[in-house]
Amino acid sequence: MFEQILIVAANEIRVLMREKTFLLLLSVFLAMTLFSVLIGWSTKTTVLGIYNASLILLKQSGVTHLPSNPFIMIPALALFRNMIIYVFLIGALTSVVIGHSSFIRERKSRVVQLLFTKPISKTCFIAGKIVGILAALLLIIFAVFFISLLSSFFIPGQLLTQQEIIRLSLFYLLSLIYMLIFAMIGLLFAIVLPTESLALLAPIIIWVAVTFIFPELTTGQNPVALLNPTNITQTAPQGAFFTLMHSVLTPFSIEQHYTGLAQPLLETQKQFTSLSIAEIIAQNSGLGISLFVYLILAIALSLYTFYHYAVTRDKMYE
Amino acid sequence: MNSLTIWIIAQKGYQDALKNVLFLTLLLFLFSLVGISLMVSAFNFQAQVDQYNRAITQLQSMGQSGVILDKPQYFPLQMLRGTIEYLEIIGAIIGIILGYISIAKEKGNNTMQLILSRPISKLSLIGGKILGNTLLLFSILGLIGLFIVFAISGIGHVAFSQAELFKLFLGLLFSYLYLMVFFCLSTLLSLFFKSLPNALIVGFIIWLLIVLIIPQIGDTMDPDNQVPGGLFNSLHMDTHQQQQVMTNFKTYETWRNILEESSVEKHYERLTFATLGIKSIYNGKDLRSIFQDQWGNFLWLIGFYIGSIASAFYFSNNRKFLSKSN
Repeated sequence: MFEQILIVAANEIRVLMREKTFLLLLSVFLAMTLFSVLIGWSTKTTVLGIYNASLILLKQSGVTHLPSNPFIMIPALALFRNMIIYVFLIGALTSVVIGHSSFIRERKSRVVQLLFTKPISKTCFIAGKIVGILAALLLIIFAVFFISLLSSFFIPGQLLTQQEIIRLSLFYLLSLIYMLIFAMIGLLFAIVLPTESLALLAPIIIWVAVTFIFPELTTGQNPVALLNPTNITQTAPQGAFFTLMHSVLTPFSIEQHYTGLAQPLLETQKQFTSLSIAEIIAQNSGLGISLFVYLILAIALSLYTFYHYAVTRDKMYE
Repeated sequence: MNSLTIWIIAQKGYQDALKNVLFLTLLLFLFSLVGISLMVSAFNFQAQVDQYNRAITQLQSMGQSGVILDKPQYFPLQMLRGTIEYLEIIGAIIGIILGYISIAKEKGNNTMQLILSRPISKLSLIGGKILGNTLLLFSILGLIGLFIVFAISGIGHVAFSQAELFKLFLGLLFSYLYLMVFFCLSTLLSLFFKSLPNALIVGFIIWLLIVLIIPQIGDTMDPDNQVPGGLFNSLHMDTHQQQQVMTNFKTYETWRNILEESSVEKHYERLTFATLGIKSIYNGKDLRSIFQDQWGNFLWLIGFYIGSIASAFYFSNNRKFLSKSN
């Protein structure tokens, strides 16, 4: 049984590595990982330069009470804050494509009909698919983690401390869980929906809802404003409507759970720097648990729909 | 090119799209989002008014006058920020889906070869597809416009002035130009790729880069976005002082600007936000003074539109493009 699962999983990775669209998405994700540190570093350097130039100008114009440096003691990990956005944009879309293509490929080529005439159980097949998806995402996360470490060393020229590496690892572990949820949603719709394009679009609609609509309804911020790292901090909703929406929708807002945990891990703001990893986990355990629950739920739904998938009655057309 | 043939193809494309589940699902989604964004804007404004009233009451109970506080002003077109942002995101996806289905149907049913075996030129075919989808996008945007006018003036009891209605019309016209860029892009990808779903995925990747990633990088690199409330505000500097400081960082600003200008989304957003007065400095200004500032973005948007239409005609005339099938 385990051998069969591993064969299906290995085949999944092999086929995925031959898919040009996946490779394109992966390249974009890896490139943006590299750029995120570069962008973070150049912005930080420029803004500090602007601050110093502003101080000189203010002194010349006779201002005696000079404002303090708003960027003093910026933690090294804050350079990675853009990665939170790239994970919920590119990472989630890559995951949807991985989950989607893992099953739609078999349906389209009718392999799935042929496969079950062989001595392989449905359980082995779907378990192999899920293991394959997990392995593919693990490879991506390892690559992204490696690029982050290297770029942080070469671009700002600083070595991360042991504590910072642990925080970064935990951030990427969290990102893996987040991406896996979207991969499972991609897989789920690839099993359920009748056409390939609809099966691709449905998880993308869910992703848009989770990324843009829920945060807008719960915080009142405009959809695109949430893409600015300084804006994605959870703002307290004002007014009865937002209070209601906040209490109703926040449990379903996966993106907010992810950013809620990712931000203290990457020390995006000064108030997070004083928190130890244990304190972050203790304070945000609810968010971590809810992400895990969503992952289990997505896997369970994929399994359920797969067991009820009638191989011989699949009328996929495109 | 035969105008009757183009018209028949356009009608067929229009009708086909209205029967497509994928398109209808997205359309429903877009209308819901427009409704949600208007509702959120209305509640946001209500929250501001409540906060203002509470502050006044508090000041009066302390024996002070509330005159020092500015009363929140209601501008109907400023309620459309979320709507425009959803048109940027979901509208672009609708453009991609329309481009995809207009070619996928012909390629999937192998009717492309059949059509081209008739006395129909490739230019008429693509011209018909563009015309049909132009009419479809005008219908969608027209309905969105009516929905906005009804929702704001009917439910909110605020009448639009003639100038505001004209600005709304212009905003929707710019939206059409923006959406057509994605329609043409997706049409070309669907013609170019042998596998149609791959064309759709590549379309989404380009969408992600143009609509979300490039503007996000531009925003992140904006020095004034680094501190909540603005860097220069936190340093208590006026506009003149800001400009003086920024002269030393011209190279950085030039690169940031080049990056932002490479995205059609940014031109559309800047132009529409200015026209509708969503960006406060343009609120209440007449169109002439707005266009004095925004003609660059207008030309860019028109340029992207003409470029994408021209590319669709040019590449669809290529035999290799049309002969590739799924």
